[in-house]
Amino acid sequence: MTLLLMSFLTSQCSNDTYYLSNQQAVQTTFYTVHETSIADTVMSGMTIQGLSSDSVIYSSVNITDLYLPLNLNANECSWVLFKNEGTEAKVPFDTLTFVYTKELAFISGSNGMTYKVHLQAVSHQTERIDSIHISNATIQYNENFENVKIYVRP
Amino acid sequence: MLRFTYVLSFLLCGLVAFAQSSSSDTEEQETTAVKKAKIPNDDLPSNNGISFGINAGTFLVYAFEPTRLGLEGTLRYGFKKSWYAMLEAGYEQVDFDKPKYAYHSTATFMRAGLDYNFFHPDEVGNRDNVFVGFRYGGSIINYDSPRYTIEEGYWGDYIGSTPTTQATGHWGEFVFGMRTEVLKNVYMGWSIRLRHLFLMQGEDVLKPYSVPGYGLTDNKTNLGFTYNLEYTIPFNQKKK
Repeated sequence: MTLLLMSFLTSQCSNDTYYLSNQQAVQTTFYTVHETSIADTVMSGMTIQGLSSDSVIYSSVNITDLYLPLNLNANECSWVLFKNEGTEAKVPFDTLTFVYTKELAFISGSNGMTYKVHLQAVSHQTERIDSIHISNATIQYNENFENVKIYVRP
Repeated sequence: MLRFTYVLSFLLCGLVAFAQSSSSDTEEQETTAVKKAKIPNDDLPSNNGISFGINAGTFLVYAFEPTRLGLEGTLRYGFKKSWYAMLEAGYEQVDFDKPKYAYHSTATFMRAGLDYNFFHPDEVGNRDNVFVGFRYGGSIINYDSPRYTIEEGYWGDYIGSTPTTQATGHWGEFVFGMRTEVLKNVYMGWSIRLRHLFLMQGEDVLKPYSVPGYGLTDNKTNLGFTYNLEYTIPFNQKKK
């Protein structure tokens, strides 16, 4: 499963994208809110990096699902989303802030420990995102569920 | 898998032995009943007495998991024809020292309960048992992790430690097993146990790796195995 996931992201991301983890990463899916319906959406030309970090995790990619790792040295972290628009690259799109608590747990004797993470809140700053819904607040080692739905305006 | 096969083979052997003995004894039941009526202490177990023993199964655990070292003793007292009061107590030490983490725990546990023997062979001198029973178990665990690292590729690894913590665990067990007299007053037997952990307290920082007497804490229900060697101090035994 991990290999499949890695190959999936490798195919979608540029060489700048070096990180993948399903351990403490929030799986986020984009949906578009239409007048009468909601549909999965592909966000094109997205670049994402952590707030106050120089490293991008996704660079100019077309994505529906995101895996955003959480900062385990804190109880909240933010991701800045950019979007290519027309000829203009890396236009600020929005900033997502995740607030969470952590619970230390054994994986196994050979694999050591990990954090089980409980999402408390997810917020955004602009109106380009319509709303955010936490669909599965618990992030556990080796589980692969959608945690957050992001509804964007068309 | 090997362990499971081992347990299963014991179980099948026990059932076959029990079935054979039951069928061969059917014809003699009437005469035996007459004989039993003449025995004054008929309501006592055929192997009445106090038995002391050890669970050699803990050494098997150590063979598979050298990080877990345990010792368990058993006390058995027959007080009715088919009933035994059981007390089991033990100690376990767990030590991990790996590149990503270290963990150390010491713990004691106790189980108390009853066994009911439903195997009463008429063969002279046969004091074998096939039994079912239940236990209540409790354990006190002292543990800590002086260092651990959780790898995180983007924001950076988390490095931490946990203080020495004391937690308690409580569980119940359903027991099925058998034992046989291999030498005079020396018994060998095994049991399989279905365990359910119904209460853990004090494990807020980190759940302990294992609860001794119960097993690993990653499941609320698990299967256990004991392999006992016992010596019985007989008294007031029923004459067979």
